Amino acid sequence: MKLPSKRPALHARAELVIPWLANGSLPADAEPAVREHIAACPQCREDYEEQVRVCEAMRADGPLVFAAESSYQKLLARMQNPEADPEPLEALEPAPARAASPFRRPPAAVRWLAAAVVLQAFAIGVGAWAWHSSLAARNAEYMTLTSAPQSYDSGPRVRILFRTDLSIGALQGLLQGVGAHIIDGPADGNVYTLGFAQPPHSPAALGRRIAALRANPSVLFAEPVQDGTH
Amino acid sequence: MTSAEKESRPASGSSTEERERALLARIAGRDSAAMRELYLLYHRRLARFLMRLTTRYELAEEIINDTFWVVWQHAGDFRGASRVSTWILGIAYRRGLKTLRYAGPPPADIDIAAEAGSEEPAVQEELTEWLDVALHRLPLEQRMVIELAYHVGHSCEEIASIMQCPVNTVKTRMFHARRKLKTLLTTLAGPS
Repeated sequence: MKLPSKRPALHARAELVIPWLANGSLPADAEPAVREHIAACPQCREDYEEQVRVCEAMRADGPLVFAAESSYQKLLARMQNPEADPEPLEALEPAPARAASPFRRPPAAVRWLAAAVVLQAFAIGVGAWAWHSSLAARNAEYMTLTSAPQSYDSGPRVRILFRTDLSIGALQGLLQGVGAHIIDGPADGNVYTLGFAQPPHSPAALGRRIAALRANPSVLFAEPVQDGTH
Repeated sequence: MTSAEKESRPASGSSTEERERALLARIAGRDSAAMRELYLLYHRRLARFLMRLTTRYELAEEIINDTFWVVWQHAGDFRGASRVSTWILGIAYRRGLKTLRYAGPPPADIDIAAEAGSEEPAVQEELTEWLDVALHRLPLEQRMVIELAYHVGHSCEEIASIMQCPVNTVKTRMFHARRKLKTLLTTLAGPS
């Protein structure tokens, strides 16, 4: 059967807006024509159904867990002491077509991170001796966490930095909660490397364990180790 | 109408928008309680969005606070030309891009072939997990369009406003993103 001459144009238009029909944001006046086309076009119908599945999967709750309240406390401190802020950040309502200006300075987030790393390294350096003395004094207890017989040559690893006031008991609970062991460290900056007795089966599963680690206030950072960087 | 469609409908012109505009007005008057409420409302959404953008938790956290620092300073400048979420996500997107330029590229791509051969996840989780892997293989702009449309639920015009590009560019990015996602998801699913 020969297609009506308008169909290619309708098809091309519908094909471009299917995602917004799937997410429910297509303008009401455009929706009937697109739905009519989809009903008659198997290719677009299949595409639409696939996009709905993707959309619903992406709206499902992911594994990320963030400590919103503790993050807000950092912002609150900034709000209460605005003079200490290194640079006023630009505002601003989106202005289409405005070109991005070149930057003379790194953004505040990066400079704050750099400053935090320097301060953290100093603070951790001061506290490291006491912490490691404590670990050594409780060597047997510590080794139960770190001397698992399994080889960790393969499987995902996580770099982690703990607060210096983390107790051995709390460290045990933290690691046992995610099935992790310390397999290396401390490296520069007192960063440790964790391995898993039963490695997570996917990046998302690894993400859930990392999220659980990050949710603990005694964890300053936890990141997956990328191949070639450990 | 699908559940995805139903879910995104109330966001526009709804009491949610009115509530968020009221919070912004109070923030403009230096109401820190309103600031906290808006922050907690947006934290998870922004965290997820910025993790897709940066793939680094510590950067996402900093960008969220930079974003809300802008909100705190400029709430009174919000003219209501867009939804509050469009305004906030636009700020977050631009802060995220700037931060990425200085922080370097995200970690290396995940090995799709290796993932395809990994242990099978639970059936109900498999699409979500494969999507996590596949999205990281998309160029940043395409990944962000997918995230803004499918996770956040923004319209094409709103995404153009957030990303400061023409509407047709958003459509084109989405078109190519869908094609690549389809190929990647087929690869991850393995031979049927």
